[in-house]
Amino acid sequence: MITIRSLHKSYGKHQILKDLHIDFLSGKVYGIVGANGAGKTTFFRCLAGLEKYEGHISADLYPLKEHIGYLPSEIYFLPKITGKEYLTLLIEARHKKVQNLKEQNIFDLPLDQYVSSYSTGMKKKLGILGVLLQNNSIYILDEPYNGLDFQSSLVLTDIIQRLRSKGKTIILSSHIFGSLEETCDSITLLQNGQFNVSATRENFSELKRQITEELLYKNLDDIFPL
Amino acid sequence: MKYYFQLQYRIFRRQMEDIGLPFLAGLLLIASLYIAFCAITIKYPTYAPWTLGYISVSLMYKFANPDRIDFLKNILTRKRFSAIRLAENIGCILPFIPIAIYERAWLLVALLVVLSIVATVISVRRVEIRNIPTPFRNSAFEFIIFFRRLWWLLIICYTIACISIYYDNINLPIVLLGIVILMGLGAYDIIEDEYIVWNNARSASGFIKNKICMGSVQLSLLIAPFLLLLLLFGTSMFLWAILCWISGVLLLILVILMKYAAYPRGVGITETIGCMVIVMMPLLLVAAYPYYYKKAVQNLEKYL
Repeated sequence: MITIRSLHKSYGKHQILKDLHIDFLSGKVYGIVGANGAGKTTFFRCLAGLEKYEGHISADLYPLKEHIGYLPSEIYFLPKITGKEYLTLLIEARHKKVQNLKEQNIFDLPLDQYVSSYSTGMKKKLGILGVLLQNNSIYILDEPYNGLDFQSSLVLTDIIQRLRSKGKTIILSSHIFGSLEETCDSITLLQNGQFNVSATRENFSELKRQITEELLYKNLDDIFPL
Repeated sequence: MKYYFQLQYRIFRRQMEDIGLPFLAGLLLIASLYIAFCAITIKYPTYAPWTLGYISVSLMYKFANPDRIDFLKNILTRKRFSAIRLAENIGCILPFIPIAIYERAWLLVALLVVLSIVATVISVRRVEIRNIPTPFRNSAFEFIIFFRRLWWLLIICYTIACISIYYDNINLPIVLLGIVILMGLGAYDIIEDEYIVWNNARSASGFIKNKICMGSVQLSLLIAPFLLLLLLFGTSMFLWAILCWISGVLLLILVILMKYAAYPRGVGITETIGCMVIVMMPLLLVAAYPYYYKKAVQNLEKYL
């Protein structure tokens, strides 16, 4: 379980996250939605220990960072490394044993090729595979569906559900509400650095309606009135 | 940790082989360059601390790319991260420490050691909320990025030049002028996306000419404060400053031509060596300019 209390984050005078309170339980999938620049990535970076912040993030796993598998929205790859080497580096870094990568290559990636020759979607798949093979207790996936083809999106949704049944905590963000609806137990709207609305599975349609009104029509009506 | 360093070795080897250099030959080349550098530094000891400091810090800066640091922080435990970063930083300064000790530049040795430790602990990811104003905002992107990255270093260089003039040291501004020229040339390390080049409504030769004109004006703007200072307070060195300025612009033209001759890949070791040979024998420019210009135009015609 991860408990977040009074989380604040600012860059100079510019406040990104304002007084966030939330709990993430084991065996649950949490979705964070919000417009571009709402603070989703900053929130994830704070959780992953990549940003300094004010407030409290505590967990029953210590040190938290070493139990988190974090997939950034833009994945960094060392130059001139192959897919296989990338995966091995990620697994070794967590003191885990590298087992037969060929068998675990669920996305059928050309692991012996340089990552630089991969397409955007393939890079995303490699990043997801790396995080999965680390076998962490908590997964933070920033826009995991971005760049994935239809089939891989289905595979990812299935993987997330399997991880949930294994008691893992999954926190993910997406611009596509539909993909979150299928996978999440709870979806929270992050707006202007604050958690505005939160909904459980049975209230997703109401949340979707609210988000559509807030984020879409409010702006559109100003510019293109009907 | 062992795997990480094995991987670094493989990456280094591949980078060398990708530019067509057999690994052993590459190692020999690096060793010879290092020996040549040692010899030059020992021959001209006055500027040794500056050169050694500049190269060591540049190397450390390369390894401190915020995305790379975030990646390592993300995948490694805190202890392993610190150990790897310390090893990398020490690796960057280690080749230059013996020369600094030989030159008895104790302050530099201490500074480099402290800096390598500090850079292990502190990593800065700059999140720019406000735009830094730049005099180059209306033209080609290289100097805009360069200025926004290194404006503070430029201010330091200008300030040191003023102080040294105040204390009647008119040699130091020339060295600083050289450093600023090198920094400016470094801006051409940035490889723009093919889409950016494709978007230009110019012919290949027009594109290169525009880059050269813009670059020359921008470089001249950067070094103008040194020229002005020396014109007013160090007239005896003014001609040297003009010579440096002309050499800088000539070198800039070569760097631009080499960049677009190699585009979209970065300038490799072969081009760098070529550039160094030309610096030592400037007459070769007569052949290098048309050669690289032709290659650059042919290369850019694919995009323009």
